[in-house]
Amino acid sequence: MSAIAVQAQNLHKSYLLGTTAVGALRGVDLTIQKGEFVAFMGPSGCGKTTLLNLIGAIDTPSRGTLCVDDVALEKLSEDQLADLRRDRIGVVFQFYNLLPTLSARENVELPMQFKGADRRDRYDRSMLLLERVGLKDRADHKPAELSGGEQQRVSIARALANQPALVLLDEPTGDLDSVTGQGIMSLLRDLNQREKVTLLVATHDPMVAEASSRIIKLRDGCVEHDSSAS
Amino acid sequence: MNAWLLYVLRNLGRRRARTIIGALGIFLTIGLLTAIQIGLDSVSMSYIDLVALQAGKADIIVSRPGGDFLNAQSFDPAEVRSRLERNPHLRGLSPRLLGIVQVNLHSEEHYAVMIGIDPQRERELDISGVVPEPSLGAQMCAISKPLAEKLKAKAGTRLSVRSPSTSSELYLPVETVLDRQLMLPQQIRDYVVVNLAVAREILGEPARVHLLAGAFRNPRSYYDARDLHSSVLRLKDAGAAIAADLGMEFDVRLPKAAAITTFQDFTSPLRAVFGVFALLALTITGLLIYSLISMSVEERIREYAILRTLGAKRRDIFRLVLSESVLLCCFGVAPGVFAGALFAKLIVALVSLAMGAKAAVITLEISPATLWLTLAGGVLLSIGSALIPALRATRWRIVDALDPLRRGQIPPRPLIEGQVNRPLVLAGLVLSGLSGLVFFVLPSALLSGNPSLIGSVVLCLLVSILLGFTLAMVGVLPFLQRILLFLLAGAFGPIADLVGRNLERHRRRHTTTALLFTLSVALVIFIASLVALCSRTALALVEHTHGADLRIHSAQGSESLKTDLDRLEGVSAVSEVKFLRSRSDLGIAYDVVVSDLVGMKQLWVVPFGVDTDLAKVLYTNQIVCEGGSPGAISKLAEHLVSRETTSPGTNPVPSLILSLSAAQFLDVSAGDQVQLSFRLGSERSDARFRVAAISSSMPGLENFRGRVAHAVGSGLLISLDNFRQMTRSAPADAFQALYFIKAKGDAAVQKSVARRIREEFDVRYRFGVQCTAEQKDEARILYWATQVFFGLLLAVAIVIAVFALIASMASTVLERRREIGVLKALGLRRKQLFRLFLGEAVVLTLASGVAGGAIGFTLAWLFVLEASALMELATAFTMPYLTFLATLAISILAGSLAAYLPTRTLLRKSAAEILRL
Repeated sequence: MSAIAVQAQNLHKSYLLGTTAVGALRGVDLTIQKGEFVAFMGPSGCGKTTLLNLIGAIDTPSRGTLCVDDVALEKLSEDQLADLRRDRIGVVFQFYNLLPTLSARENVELPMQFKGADRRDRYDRSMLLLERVGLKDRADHKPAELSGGEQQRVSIARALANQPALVLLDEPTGDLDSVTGQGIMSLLRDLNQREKVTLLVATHDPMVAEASSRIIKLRDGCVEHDSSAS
Repeated sequence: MNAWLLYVLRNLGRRRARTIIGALGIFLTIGLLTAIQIGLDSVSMSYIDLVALQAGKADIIVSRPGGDFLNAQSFDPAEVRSRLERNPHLRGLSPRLLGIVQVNLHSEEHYAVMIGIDPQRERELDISGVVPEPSLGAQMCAISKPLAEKLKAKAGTRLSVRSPSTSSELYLPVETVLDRQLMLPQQIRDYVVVNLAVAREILGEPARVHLLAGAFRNPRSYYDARDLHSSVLRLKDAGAAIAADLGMEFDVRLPKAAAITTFQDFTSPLRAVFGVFALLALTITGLLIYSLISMSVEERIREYAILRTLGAKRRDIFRLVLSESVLLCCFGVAPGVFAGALFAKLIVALVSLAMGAKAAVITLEISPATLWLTLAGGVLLSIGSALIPALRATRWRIVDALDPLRRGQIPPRPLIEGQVNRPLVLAGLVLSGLSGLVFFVLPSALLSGNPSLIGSVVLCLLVSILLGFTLAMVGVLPFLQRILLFLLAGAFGPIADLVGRNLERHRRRHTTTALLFTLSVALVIFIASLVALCSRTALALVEHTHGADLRIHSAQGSESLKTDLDRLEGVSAVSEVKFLRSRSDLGIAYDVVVSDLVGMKQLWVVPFGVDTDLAKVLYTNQIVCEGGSPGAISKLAEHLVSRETTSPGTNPVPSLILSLSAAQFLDVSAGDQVQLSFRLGSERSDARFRVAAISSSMPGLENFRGRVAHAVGSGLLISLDNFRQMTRSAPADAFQALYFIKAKGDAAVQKSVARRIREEFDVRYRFGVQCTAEQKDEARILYWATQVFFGLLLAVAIVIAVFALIASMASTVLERRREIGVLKALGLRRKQLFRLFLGEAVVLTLASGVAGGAIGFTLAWLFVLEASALMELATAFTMPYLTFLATLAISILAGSLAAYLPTRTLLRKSAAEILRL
């Protein structure tokens, strides 16, 4: 198995806005090693989220090749992509995207349920993850009963449910106050250092960039600067 | 609990109002359909008993040929028994004697029908047909309740029973007063039941019998409630085998088989009507579920995307939506089935009560098959209705679904070369299917002459037209809404424009609601129009069938009957109409042919000899004359047919009234002459008549029709004297008579005259009396019962549509919560905001109501047009304005409710509070 977590070559993505095609990514070349903590930075509309979406296999590139965990995404079927998302990728959204009708524990259990995990195992693992993010005592609370920071931590626990090799975070502190944001960042750093989880974070937040091991700056859909290259 | 199930359950719980609305809609529909199905099943399963109520309990009746029921010839039962000894179908026979007797008690004397039975044998064969069952010991009798009331007799009273023909008289104590008999036609009310030995003594019949009533071996093998047609065929086969063994000397009748055929003619169209209603009710409920699930899917597009991000596959989402729909249906189906069963029980009890039975005549039949069918129907309905929303839920790409701003930017899938064009295929198939129905099924149905089949096909076509009109109207709705908005602009003020934009914006969601509402209103107006029409037609039909206040059909007629009737109190005038039997008891048949003077066209007709009083007693408003006038009836007797052949011009030509169908066949018109020939073997009477009038409708006489297709056997009227002259060589038993009576007053007088005739004459003269006022009362009861029943069904349809509207508006409000907050922050008042939603809902419901009304009216008008043409009945279409206005009022009310319920709490909040939600 290679040490490369993500490899993108000449990655393009364009959207149709009305009748006009707008290029969100314009030939991105990228290699990310396993265990790296990468921060994608850049102004709004530079293509950070689009890149994360492509890497997370929730969107498909218009052109170019993309390998995640040694798997070429363009060769995968719809179902295989779903399996990849379930088993190897964890996603944390800016607005948490927890299912409002399920409790914190049930939200964390969902990816394991998709994998067919045993009920007992699901319970144990979800409680363990919630303990790690400091929310064991809030396990039975619904998202509406949790604060923003708590919801984000549940979202992180959910992303880690199936022990993914890669976790993608889109503006994880964007909607949080600085104290809560710091808490989240220390949690992420801890994850990266102790469990060697590869973290890719799209952010505007310099605090996040500071915590990362590599910063990739994007502008107009291209890589403007890669700290690992300098 | 499974996390999926938990998720679905929680989602249903999250939108509690919507779930309750959906479950209630399903509950009502399934409950109603279950009740109908169980009711029909119960009637079907109890139909042998129901049939026995009319036809008697005996499977077979053996009698001598000829004679009527009360004038049967006697025969030796041993002869029949010996011939049927080895018949495998017959379980046994029980002898019966019948006769007319005079029953006296003190000064009261009444005619009654006497039935002599062998009670023990009848019990053995389970054909005993009197309730309560008497032991009928020697020298005892049981009498009917009406006779007991007339005689003021009760159990223990000693009666004198005497036969007018033998003058034999016996004094018999009354053992019991009978509630019901199942041996004679039900119109016979005055009867005495005695032991066979007693009957023999009174009637002077030492060994012979009038009838043998029999029972089949293993009746369950003949009667199959699920397949009435096969039941009749099996009974006919058994009857035919018995008739073959008996030979030509005996007649075999199958009263139950005959009753089943009538029953089948009644229930088949009923089942077809309920089938169509069930289909429409299920369609409306299906649309409601579709609407609710669509809203739910629309609301949760983002959640589905999150699930897919976490690893769920498209098919998982598909299953998720379907399971939500199935679960929603289960909430409604299970209690619906239960409530339906209870409702059916209530209906069955009410029917039994209405039938005057002390015990339930219909046993409640809840078969597991019905329950499974309903449950399976509910599940299928839920899956079918949720299929499109479920497919829509999986159609989104994850990134698009996650970002609300990017929704709606998915370009339509381009048509790939070689790919099937589904809309065209579907439209083509529907068109071909309908054409196929018209081309293949309609002619076959019409040629079959089976009214239930014709009715079913016509209903199917009507439903197709209804659906077609509804879809077309839904297409026109935006235009209608624009007109309504223009008209209501004053009421909504500055927000009218915003209302229009919102209607346009939510067009897709509103389309389902509009479809539901239009379909429901169309159904209401259509059924209301038909019920109103049926009511009017039924009353007119009673007048048309009876012809006068009272109508008596006498198989023999009697010289003294007219005089007797004339003398009755309350009778204003009596008219006697004579006509020929198609074949007399002695097998004599008259041929009556009318032809033009050159003999180019000849037609077999049914002549009626009428007296001069006919014009006084008939409902002349029911007479339709195409040539001449109804007054021609009184002029028929002006000239007599000459006995001698005379040269033309020396004797005036007598008149006749011809049916329009005959006149059209012969190509004659009023004033023309026709030749009438009465032929009896070699005997022949010919005469020429002038056509005084041509009628397409003559009340009391069914042979006057308008179409050439009905020309053979159509009627013509000549004077009674001319009729007698033309049929002078006919034997007495060749004639039948009709008596039309005009009462001196209103319905109450008519009924009292009918009662008096029944009490005094019907047993003596052996006829039945038809009273127009009584029949109208029955028609009115039937009308109200039908109206209440359909009203109930339609209320369900409307309630479901209102539910859908409320759910749709609730979803709109939910979706526009932020927008409401912004509008409030921009200075829009609470009242104005409410009016915004009120306008949207009211315009939507009003437009749908108007469209549905237009469809309902058009459909009813088309139906009336076709029914008038087919039935040759003058039916006038009248709009049910009140129902329409009520429907519009309900539309406005429903719109207001749909606007108020979802907004009532939201609009009370401040702009900041709403924006924070």
